[in-house]
Amino acid sequence: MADPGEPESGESKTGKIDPAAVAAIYVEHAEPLRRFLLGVLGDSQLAGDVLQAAFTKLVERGHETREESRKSWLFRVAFHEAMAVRRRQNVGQKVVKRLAWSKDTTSDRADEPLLRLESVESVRAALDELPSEQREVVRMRIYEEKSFAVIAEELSIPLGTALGRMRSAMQKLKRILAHHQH
Amino acid sequence: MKPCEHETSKTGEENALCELDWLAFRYIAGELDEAELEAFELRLAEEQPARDAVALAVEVVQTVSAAEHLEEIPMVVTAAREASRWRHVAWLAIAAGVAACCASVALMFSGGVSSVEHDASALAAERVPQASPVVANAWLETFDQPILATSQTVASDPLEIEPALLSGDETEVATPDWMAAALAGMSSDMGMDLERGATAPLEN
Repeated sequence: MADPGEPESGESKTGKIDPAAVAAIYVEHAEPLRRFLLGVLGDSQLAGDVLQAAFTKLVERGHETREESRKSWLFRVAFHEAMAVRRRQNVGQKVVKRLAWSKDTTSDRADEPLLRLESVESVRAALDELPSEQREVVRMRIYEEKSFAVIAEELSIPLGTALGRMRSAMQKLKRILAHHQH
Repeated sequence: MKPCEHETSKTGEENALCELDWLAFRYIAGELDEAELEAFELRLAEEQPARDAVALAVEVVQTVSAAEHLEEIPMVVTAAREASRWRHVAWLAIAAGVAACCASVALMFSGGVSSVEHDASALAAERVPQASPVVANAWLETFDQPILATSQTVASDPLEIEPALLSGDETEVATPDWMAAALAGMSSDMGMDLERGATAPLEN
């Protein structure tokens, strides 16, 4: 049991969350949160805006949360903010119909998620080692931004086969990335 | 970030891409139908593993997309490495030159090499006969005249002296035969009318 006179971990004497704790949370969770928001919004600038809004709320209300649940709280707040932005902008799910945002990964924009060069190199090597039919589907889906239905039609394969090839490829690529994260 | 770790441990298929990851990928790819989309976004509102799966799916797609551009990077790296290698070689050459110079200076000021220097001087004396002052002066006199003539030629307009050169009056300007021949060849190449000292048009 914590001493009632002592603030909870990450809480300053003013009742607000300690700025150092906010900085630590930012370092640990900002990039995954930015990626999550990019997946929801499909726009890196909007994702950056919502990220900042979420951390502003963390500063204002973070002291009301338990330390162990702060990540979940932060992501939930950010998700609701993102959905509100989508409603306001009336963009709906259209923004994620295409993966055009993924093309901007080489830009120097500050609101782009960071990528590790070694991860990119490893994924590149892994792509080269994929069976050609899987690599073809990955290329058509991610580089050429074609839907699985179009890919299946162009390759004259069933939709389930196209999905299965993509899934198998993603499985391998995810394993490579997970390896570099640990 | 392992959103599907609990599922893989249940199934024992470590390499299996769990349903959540696949749903997340299809979500960011816009491949979910209306019902799936609504259901998945309800999960996103409540489940942190679902949010983590979306973040991971985005990372995978971005990394794959970035890998597309990676082919350009080795070229740049190779060029940079090549330049670096040549810089290294150049520095080595410069360092070797400086070391050689230092060694030469050191040898020059050390007494141990005086015999070598002396030997070299002696060898040179053997090969080059000693020239008496009279011979030297005679050599310089014969050398001075063409040099002066040449310097005059250079100082003045070549077109002005050409008639004199080609007039056959060798007493006027002591011109060596090789120079006259060279000038005559040059003049004919330039299409000059040597008799008149004017430039004639070149025939095609």
